[in-house]
Amino acid sequence: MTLAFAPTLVRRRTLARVGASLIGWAMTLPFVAGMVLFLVLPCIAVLGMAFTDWSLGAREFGFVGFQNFEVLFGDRTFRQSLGNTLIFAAIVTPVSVAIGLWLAVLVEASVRGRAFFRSALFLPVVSTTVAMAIVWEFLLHPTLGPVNTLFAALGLPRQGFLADADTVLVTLAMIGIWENAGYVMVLTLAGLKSIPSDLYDAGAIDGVDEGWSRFWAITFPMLGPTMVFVVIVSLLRSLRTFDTVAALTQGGPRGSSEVLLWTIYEEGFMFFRVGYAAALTVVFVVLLLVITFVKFRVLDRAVHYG
Amino acid sequence: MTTLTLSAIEKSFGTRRVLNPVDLACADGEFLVIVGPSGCGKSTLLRIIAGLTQQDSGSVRIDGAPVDDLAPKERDIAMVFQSYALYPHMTVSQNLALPLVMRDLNWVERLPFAAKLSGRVRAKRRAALEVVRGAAETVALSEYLDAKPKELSGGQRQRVALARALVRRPRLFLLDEPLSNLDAALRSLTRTEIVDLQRRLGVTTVYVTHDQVEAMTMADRIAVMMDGDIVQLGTPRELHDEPADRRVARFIGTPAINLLPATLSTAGTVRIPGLAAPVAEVLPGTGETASERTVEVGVRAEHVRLADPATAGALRGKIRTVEYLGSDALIHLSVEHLGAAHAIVARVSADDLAHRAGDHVGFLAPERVHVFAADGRRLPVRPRPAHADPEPQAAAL
Repeated sequence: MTLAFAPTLVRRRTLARVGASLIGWAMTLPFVAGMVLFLVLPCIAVLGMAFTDWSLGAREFGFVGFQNFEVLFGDRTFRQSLGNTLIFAAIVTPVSVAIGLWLAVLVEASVRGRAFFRSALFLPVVSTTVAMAIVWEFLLHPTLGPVNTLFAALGLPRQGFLADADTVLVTLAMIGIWENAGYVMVLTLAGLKSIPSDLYDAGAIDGVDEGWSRFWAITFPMLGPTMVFVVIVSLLRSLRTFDTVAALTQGGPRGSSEVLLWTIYEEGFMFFRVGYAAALTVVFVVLLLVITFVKFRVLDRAVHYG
Repeated sequence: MTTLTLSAIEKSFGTRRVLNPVDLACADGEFLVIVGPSGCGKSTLLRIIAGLTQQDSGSVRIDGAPVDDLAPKERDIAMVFQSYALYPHMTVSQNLALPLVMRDLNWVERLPFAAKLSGRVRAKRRAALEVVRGAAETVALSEYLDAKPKELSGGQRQRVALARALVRRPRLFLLDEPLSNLDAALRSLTRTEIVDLQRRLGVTTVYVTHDQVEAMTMADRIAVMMDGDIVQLGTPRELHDEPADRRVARFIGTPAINLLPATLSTAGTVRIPGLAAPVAEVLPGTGETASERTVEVGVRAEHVRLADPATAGALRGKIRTVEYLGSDALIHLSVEHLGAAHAIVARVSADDLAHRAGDHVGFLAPERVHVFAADGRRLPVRPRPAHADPEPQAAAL
């Protein structure tokens, strides 16, 4: 009797298990479908387009193999764009992280006005960059801008800022720092909150009780995981910089503020060279992937987690 | 030689008063335990001694010298925290060395490359490492010097915290609930280890806990704190045998003391309603004997005397549960006239255990009792002469 029951029982159980996993898949379906439709397929499409000579609106296109990439690496505009992007990121990331960290420690230590400073310094993150860009354009105007008026009053030489090929990238980087420092500060504030106060008490008794020694012995190491995240996010944000360039300089003067995303936009939507823009995008994504890989492989090992 | 003196320490957080004026003195080499329910102000008091919290008024003196204006690190104390507060990004060795490095090296000498450049710095670092090794050996952690705290068990972390407190040879040793995060078996083991260590080093120690068992087993003297006051200061024996008031009596001792309603006559005789024999004679001059009053009688479980239910002059009770503890047993019984919610606990030797839940027993006038006035104060009682009550429980049952 018992033996006769066994197979049906097993079958019923298997069916139940299949049923359960079907329900599971069904429930994830909306998300999976969205991801495939809006993320996976476009990525594959971009990768495919990178090997074609398709122009936007063209009826036909041909596969050209690695030709786009060959052109790309020989192209002066691309090299300048890549260089500018890296310089921009190399200025914005460390400076905005340092300033953001400093602001966070300052805001956390302040007795009064904590909420005010937190909101005020986070404002650049939530405000519309394009709208802010107009303000910047006015402030930094070579002849009419108040910044130059201030420079003149202080006896400093007037600057071209966004209009001068020598200063445009640094000026954009300063705006980038202004945008990113508040973001870094808010993330760091959350990290600071998670440091147990007992550690500071123990430190006070052990002799780690003021400013720098306390910061280097306790605060900074305990912020390790936050810092890794903040550095990576800042780096990715600064590599992706686009809206200030589009609104203020459009890559100029003479390509001196050309950055990768702007170049991609130019090639794809102004010159309609979609195949070439796709190849640029692939290079850009590879750059981002390398950074992410470095984060997981190198930084995460050097940092203490919980 | 280190003594600690607290005089009139007061502290409020906002409108909430945490410490009423507290006075406390700790003798050289003494193991003083401050015990009390959570929220009684004991941890705040310890933090004030350490300098982590500033008192509103009053003075802390170590070896007679006020330390109120000194930063924690200048007070030459060490503290063990409930959470251990180990630096998670440092190895055990680095954790232990930190207090030494901070004390013995200036900021230039602490720079990472200083030891490579200067022989003097190297010598200082070596000396610190020597001390660290010694401390690690004291707490049997020599093999774990290179481990990070998260690789260690709770007990090991606790020992690292102890060792970190030891390395500097502080004048004063402060411990804030150091055993709360350990499991029961480890806790009783660590209890003896800490006491041993303290005896060996002879360092004056203030230990804060909410656990009266820890207090009773570890302390030279105990300060019982309640609602921001030290209600009694004494040896464990004094606290147990002569509690200052009802609260201390309830707090000290396992199981908690039984409290029974009783009456106090003008002549000073204390009677539990329903019991034939009086339970105590209150000494005259307590101010409580002017008229008939309601008092409470406290009886420890080991002094409860059980008898055959038929015994004349006994109260009748029913056994609810019997807790067998190995060497002895706790009998929970409800006494009829007290109502079902009011249980009395009796401790009997397991050898004599003949009771089952549901049995009826007699409850006789106990030999040793505490009498508490309505305001909770303990009233002194006359030592009871040996009386001629029926045989105690062992023979009767």
